[in-house]
Amino acid sequence: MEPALNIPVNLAAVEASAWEGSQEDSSRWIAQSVAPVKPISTVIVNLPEKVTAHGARTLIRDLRAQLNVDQPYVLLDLSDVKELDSTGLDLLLECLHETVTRDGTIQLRGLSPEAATVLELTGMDEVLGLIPGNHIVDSISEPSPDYVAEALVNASQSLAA
Amino acid sequence: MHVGAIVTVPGRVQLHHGAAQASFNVVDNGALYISPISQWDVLGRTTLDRTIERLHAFGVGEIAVIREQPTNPVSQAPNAFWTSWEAAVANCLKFDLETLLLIRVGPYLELDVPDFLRFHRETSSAMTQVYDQSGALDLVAIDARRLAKGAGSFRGRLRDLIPGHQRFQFTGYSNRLSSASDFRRLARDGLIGIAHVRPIGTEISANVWAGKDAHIEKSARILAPAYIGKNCRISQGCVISGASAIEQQSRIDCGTTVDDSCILARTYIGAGLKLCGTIVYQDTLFHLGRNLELRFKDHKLFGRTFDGKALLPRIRSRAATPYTQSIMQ
Repeated sequence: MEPALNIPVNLAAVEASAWEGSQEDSSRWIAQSVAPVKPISTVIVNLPEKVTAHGARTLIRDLRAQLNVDQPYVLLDLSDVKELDSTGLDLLLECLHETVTRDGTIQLRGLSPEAATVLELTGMDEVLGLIPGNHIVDSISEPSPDYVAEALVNASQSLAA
Repeated sequence: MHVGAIVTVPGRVQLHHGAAQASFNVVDNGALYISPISQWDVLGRTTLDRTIERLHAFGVGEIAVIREQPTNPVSQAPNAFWTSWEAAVANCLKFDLETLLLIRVGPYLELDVPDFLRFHRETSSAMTQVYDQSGALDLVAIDARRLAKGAGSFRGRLRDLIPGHQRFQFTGYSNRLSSASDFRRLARDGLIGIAHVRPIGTEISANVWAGKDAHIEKSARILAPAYIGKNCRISQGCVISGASAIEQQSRIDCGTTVDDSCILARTYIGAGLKLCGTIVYQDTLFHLGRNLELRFKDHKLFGRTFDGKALLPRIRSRAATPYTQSIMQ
């Protein structure tokens, strides 16, 4: 479903407009009655094992390039992250800033215990609004394989509404 | 009654909690040093020092301390510990002791030593070992005269005494200190008064203890019970709660919350952090809930503080050098 584009910093961007085609018939009436809806660009940000000062500049540059779309739907994947420092936290804030500036949405896809601990220690869990209050352990567990599909369906439903 | 003691300090620390294991390793000058739990400050003093203090208080005269593993394991021969142990036993027996206590300071226990020695004497046993609800503890009393009379190595003679040993059932406070959680529990129990681990310092308000020269900013909130060690600095807007202990020479930077945690000696905690259920030793953090050890190379978050008093002589000597040179010129 998602043709992942592997780029050197392990960020994968996906242009997801297939949902529109699949829902063409059901949404024809809506499409006629309201203004045409822009396609959603889903960007999967899969961060590497070390998100530290070393190599952060390259990560930020590539992240900006990938988020350079309108209304991006960003799926942040921290499941591989073992080391995260203040520069890495800056990177996450940059990611949030770029997404919000483009009127996009950001959601957490996966979270390692190490990353969860650092986010909690620094209060970034609340800043990013990524981790639902008391369900941090749930979010650490393996993401559902259908997560992206569900996210796309939910996004399409909210747009259609 | 003349009583001596040989106190053994365990080597490598294994903070096992469930299946996973972790250890606090300290790298200094390129060599690997491992700090045993018995040498971590708990409310201002190590459990090793507390054990020795307790033995002295109960009239134990000769006390020898031996490390099972040196700070730098590479530099020691494989049987070095047993050589030291044999030498320490031989040395203690020179004093014509009646009883020799062998203690390994892994677990912390509040033993009534005279009561234990009375039991040992009354049973006329060559060896008496202390047991608690969980089983045997590393504390035995030996009839020193019988140990001195035997043949062969002291280790062999001790082994021969094991089959006929008596059990002393201990019902007081004990903590095996076999994991980071155990260590945290000891600090908490000391602060709430379950364990008689007396905080070193003065009680500045009800159940809040502060060591000498501890500096707490006015805007910082210390919620009882809590311990702030000597030369600690608690900056503006900090909140210390949940029976937390900040050990000596540590610094908590502005706006940080420390809840249900132990901050070990000479640790810097960065600004605006939220610590809950953790033990932090300089750049290493142990998260008790997740049984996870994290090491930070980013000193904005966690790091080491330096003792200003220790640096002072160096600064003085450096400051004095150019002056001396100018006089000579």
